Amino acid sequence: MTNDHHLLEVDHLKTYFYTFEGVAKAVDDVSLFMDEGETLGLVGESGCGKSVTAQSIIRLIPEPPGKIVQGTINFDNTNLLELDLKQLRKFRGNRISMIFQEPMTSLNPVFTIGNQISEMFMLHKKLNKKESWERAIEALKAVQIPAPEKRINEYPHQLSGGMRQRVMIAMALSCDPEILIADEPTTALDVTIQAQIIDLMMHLKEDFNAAIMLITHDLGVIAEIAQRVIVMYAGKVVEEGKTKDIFEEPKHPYTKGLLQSVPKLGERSRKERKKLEEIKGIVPSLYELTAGCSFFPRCPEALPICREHIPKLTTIGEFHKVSCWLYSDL
Amino acid sequence: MTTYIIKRLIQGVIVLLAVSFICFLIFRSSGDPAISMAGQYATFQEIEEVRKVFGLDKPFYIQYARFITNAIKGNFGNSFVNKVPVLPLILERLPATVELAVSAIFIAFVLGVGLGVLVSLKPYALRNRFIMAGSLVNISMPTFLTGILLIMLFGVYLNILPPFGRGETVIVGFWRTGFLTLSGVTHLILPAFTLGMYQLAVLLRLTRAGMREVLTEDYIKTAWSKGLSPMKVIFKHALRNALIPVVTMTGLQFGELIAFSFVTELIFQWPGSGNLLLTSIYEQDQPVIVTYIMLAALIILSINILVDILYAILNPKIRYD
Ligand SMILES: Nc1ncnc2c1ncn2[C@@H]1O[C@H](COP(=O)(O)OP(=O)(O)OP(=O)(O)O)[C@@H](O)[C@H]1O
Ligand code: SF4
Ligand SMILES: [Mg+2]
Repeated sequence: MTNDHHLLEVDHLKTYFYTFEGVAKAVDDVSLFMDEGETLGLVGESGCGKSVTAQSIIRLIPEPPGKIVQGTINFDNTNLLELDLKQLRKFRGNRISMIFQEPMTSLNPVFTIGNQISEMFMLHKKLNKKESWERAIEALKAVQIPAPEKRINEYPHQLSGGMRQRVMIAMALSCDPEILIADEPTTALDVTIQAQIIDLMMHLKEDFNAAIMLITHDLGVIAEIAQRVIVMYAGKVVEEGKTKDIFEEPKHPYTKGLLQSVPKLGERSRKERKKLEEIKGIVPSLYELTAGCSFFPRCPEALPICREHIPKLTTIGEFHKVSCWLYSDL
Repeated sequence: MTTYIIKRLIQGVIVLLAVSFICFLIFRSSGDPAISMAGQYATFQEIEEVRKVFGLDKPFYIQYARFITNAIKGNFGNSFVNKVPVLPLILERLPATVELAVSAIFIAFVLGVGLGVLVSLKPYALRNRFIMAGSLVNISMPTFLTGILLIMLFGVYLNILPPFGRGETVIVGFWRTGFLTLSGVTHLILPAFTLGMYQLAVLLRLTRAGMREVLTEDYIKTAWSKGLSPMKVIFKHALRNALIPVVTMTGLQFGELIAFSFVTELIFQWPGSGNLLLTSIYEQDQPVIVTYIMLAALIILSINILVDILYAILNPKIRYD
C-alpha cells in the first residue's frame, strides 16, 4: 500500500464556524488520505471535529455559519472544493456516500423507503421508476432485510432503528461508491444491533470494495476492522498510523489516555467497551483555545514548551505520525 | 384509513348536532316565534293558532326533534321579512361567496407557500426581509382597510380593475358562476385579494418557519448527500414535510374565510350570502341567520374532514396508526 497516489487526499483543510460566540475552528489544518478499499478509523472525543471533517469532504457544511476556509480535497484528480454544485452532485451519493449517526431522523418520514432508495438509481444510473424499484428491492436484500418486497413500501417510522440503519446503508451503497463515510453509524443503536451493523458493513465492504471512513467512539470496533487510525483532538490530527502501531505503541499522551481503558487488539468484548469520555479534564471549547498544544491543560506529560508553541505533525515511522513535543524538536 | 375517515364523519355529525342545538336555542330565545310568524298585528287568537299549527305548544324536546327533521329535509322555514323559504334564498347567493372564498384561499395558498419557500432559503436577504415586514403589516391590517386601499389603488387611481360588483355571470346547472367570463374574473381579483391577504401573510410565515426548521433536519442532509438537485431537496424532501401544518391551517382558514367574507362582500358590494346575513341581522330575520349558521357549520365541518384526510395522506404516521 505504498502508492503515493491516493484515492482521496485531504490537504490542510480548515473548516470554521462563525457564530455569536466567536469563530470555532472545528477543523484546523487537517490532512488525511484514503486508499482504495481500505478502512480508515477516525476517533476522538465528542466535538473534536470528526463529523465536520467528514461532511467537509462532500461539502455538507451548513453555510452560514460554517465555511471551508482553506484546503484541497482531491478525489480522482479533482479538487472537490473547486466544483460547482452541479459537478459536485455527480460525486455525492454516487462515488462518495455517507451514513449518519441518527437512523431515526436520517430518513425522510413522509416517503417510503422504496421511494428514497430508488431515487438514487433514477438520479445516478438514469434508470426508470420500475427498474429503480427493482434495484431498490435488491439493495434491501443485500443488507439482509427480511421480506424486502413488503418492507420497500413501508415508511421509516414502521422500522426499528437497526432496520433503518440498514436502509441507510443500502441507500449509501446503492450506486457502488468508492468511498463510504460512516459517521458513528452504530452509536444510536443498542449493543447487539451495533455488532450486527458493523458485521454487515464489513461483509458488504468485501462485495462492494468500497473504502470506508469509520467515525466512532468505539475503539474496540476500530481495533477489529480498521487498517489505519486517525486520532483527532480539538480540530487537529494529533496522531495517525496503522491500527497495530496505534494500539500497540501509542505515542501521543491523548491517544495513550484513550487506549487505557480499552481491550487489547482483537479482543472485542462487549462488557468492557468504554466510551472515550474517561480521560481527566474536559474537552477545551473551540472558542478559547490556548496558544500552545491544545491538550496541554490535560496532559500528564506536558513540557514547558507545550504551553507556548503548537507542536507539528511529525513522521516517526512508516505511516506513523504524531503531533507532540515529546517526539519533535523546535 | 377507512376507520379514520368514519371516525371523523361521526365526530362531524356530533358537532353538527351541537351547532343545531345552539341554533335552536338562539331561535327560541330571541322572542316568541309565534308572534314573529303571525305578524305584529295579529290577534291573540291568531297567534295561538300559529302556535298550534307549528307545534310551538309542544314540549321543548319535541320541538327540537321537529327542527332537526325539518332541517335534514332542507326545510328551514320562511324568512320573516321576505316570506319565502330560507334555504333557496341563501343557496342562491352561496355560489358568489364560495367562489370568492375559493379564489381567496387559492391566492393565499399559492402565493403564501411560494413566497414562504423563497424567503426561507435566504432569510437574511434584503428582499426577503421586506417580504417578511410586508407580511407583518398585512397581518395587522384590518380587512376593510386592505379592501379600501386596494380599491383606491387599482380601482380608482390606476383604474385597471373594477372596484365593485360581481360582473357578468353564467349559470351552470344550479350554480351561478363568475369564473367563466372575463368580466367575472376581473371583478373577482380585488375582493379575492382583500379576503385572502391576511391568510396569505399567515401561510407565508407558517411556510417560512416550517421550511427553516425542516431544512436543518437530518434527512435533508441525507438528501443533499445523495446528490439530489436543489429542486428535489427543497420541493420534494423539505416542502412535503413543511406543508403538513400549512395544509391544516389552510383548511381551517377556508371555513373562516366563508364565515367572515361578509366584510369583504360589504366593501365590494358582492352579491354573496355574507351580505344577506348582514341584512338579516339588521332586520332580525332569525330563520335566515340560523340557517346561515347551520350551513356555514356544515361547510366548515366538511372542509375540516377533507383536511384531516389530506393530512393523513401527507403524513404517513397518522395514516398507519
Ligand atoms: N452548525 C454548527 N454551528 C456552529 N458550530 C458548529 C456547528 N457544527 C459543528 N460546530 C462546531 O464544530 C465542532 C466539531 O463538531 P463535530 O460535529 O465535528 O464533532 P464530532 O467530533 O463529530 O463530535 P461527536 O462525537 O459528538 O459527533 C463542535 O464542537 C462545534 O463547536
Ligand atoms: S505537546 Fe506537550 S502538552 Fe501536547 S500532548 Fe505533547 S506533551 Fe502533552
Ligand atoms: Mg459527530
